[in-house]
Amino acid sequence: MDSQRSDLPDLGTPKNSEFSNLGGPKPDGLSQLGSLAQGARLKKLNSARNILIIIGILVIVGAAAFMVIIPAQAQGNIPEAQLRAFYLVNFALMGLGVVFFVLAFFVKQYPVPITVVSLILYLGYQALLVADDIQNLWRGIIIKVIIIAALVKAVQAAMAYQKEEDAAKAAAEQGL
Amino acid sequence: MTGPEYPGQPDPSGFQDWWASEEEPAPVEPVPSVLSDCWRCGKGVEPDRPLCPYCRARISSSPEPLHRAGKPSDDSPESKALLGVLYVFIIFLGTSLIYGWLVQFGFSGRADNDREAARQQLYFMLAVEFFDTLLVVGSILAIMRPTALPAPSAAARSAAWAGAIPLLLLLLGLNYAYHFLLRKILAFPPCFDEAVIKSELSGLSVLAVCIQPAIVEELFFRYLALGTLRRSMGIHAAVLVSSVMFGIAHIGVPLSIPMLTLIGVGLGYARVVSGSLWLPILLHFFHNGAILLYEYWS
Repeated sequence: MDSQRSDLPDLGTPKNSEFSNLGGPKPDGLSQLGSLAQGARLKKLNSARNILIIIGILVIVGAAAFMVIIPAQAQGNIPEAQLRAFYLVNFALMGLGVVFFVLAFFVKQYPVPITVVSLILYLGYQALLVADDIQNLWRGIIIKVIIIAALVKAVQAAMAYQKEEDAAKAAAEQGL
Repeated sequence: MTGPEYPGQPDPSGFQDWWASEEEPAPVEPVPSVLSDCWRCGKGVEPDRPLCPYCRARISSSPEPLHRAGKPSDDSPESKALLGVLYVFIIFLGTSLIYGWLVQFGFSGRADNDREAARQQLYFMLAVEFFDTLLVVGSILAIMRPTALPAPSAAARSAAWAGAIPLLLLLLGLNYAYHFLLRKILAFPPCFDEAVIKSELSGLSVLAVCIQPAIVEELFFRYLALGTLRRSMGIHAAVLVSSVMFGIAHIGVPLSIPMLTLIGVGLGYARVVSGSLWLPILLHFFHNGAILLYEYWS
């Protein structure tokens, strides 16, 4: 109320050392809490990386299996043009699996673009399977929903992680 | 020494209580109100305002949700906007899939020889595109306004417009070469839309093939998606990701996805370098128009 009173004791500005001596919250408590949050986000990015590696393996193995099983079952009854198209599509799917591997290895360097592209490519891959056979929509639907939910969480975590990193870099550049 | 014995008594001792000071009280500085960000335009708005004064969006009156101490939420307005764009993209994929199934089961084997079946397919395509138009318009109103792209210099804008025709010819040439390779060398079957394109050249087919995709797809991919992605990544990454979205959205023609992604990159850079959405709209319109004319006359 009256900051100019002379009879009130001057409490002074508490120093950081006073808090630490009293065992109160650490002076860099906020940054520690921020580190905890960044650690949690890194965990989500790690799980996104693992998911992408698993998806890559499944896509490559699935496409390779199709390339072996389907022609063997058809026993040469597939027209040449259709066989060429079949092999091309499956080679493209194997390439997509390799892309998922590559995305997994770069997810920490470029978290936001990689997680967004991963989600889009996975959704596109599932849409392709459903376009081919509608029954693919509910085959393994629980796992698909879990994967999509994990990738969505990874996108959110990546954005928050990127924001914190940018803020920390800006603060470091300003010498704070 | 004591003070006055009753209130108002002049103090003969000259001793004055501090609360009777005749000095002007120190002015109380008004506490600045905390502004909250508008969910659509991102500008600071006083929380007691019902509408944003900049973009007229309705401001929610619900209080900020409480978070556990030490656990900052990852649910920022930017991530909400990006997820909103992704959800609209998923609906786009869904409508493309439904259109493909219904065409496959309703018009297959008939459209090649039956002009009437091709016309019916055209009407159905227009109905699906009408839904997509409503979807895009609704998403633009509901999702946070995308960030403005960096304004290009006058020289860059002029170069973008001057290079529009060469870019269009380049994209058409690449598109034709790619599909020539697929059809003639690898003997891929035509896509289900080709029956519609080959059957007639009318105002409806121009609307369905050229006008609606040029306007609606550019509004979504080069305005909303590109601008929203730009909040979280660099301009080149935003162009690439929006182009991948553009390619995959054409799930009905899966073999054309790589070529369409490349076209999306061209349109994305046309948007960035020109600073205007009109250039990619016109490029998209003339690109689809050229394909429509070529397919009809071939």
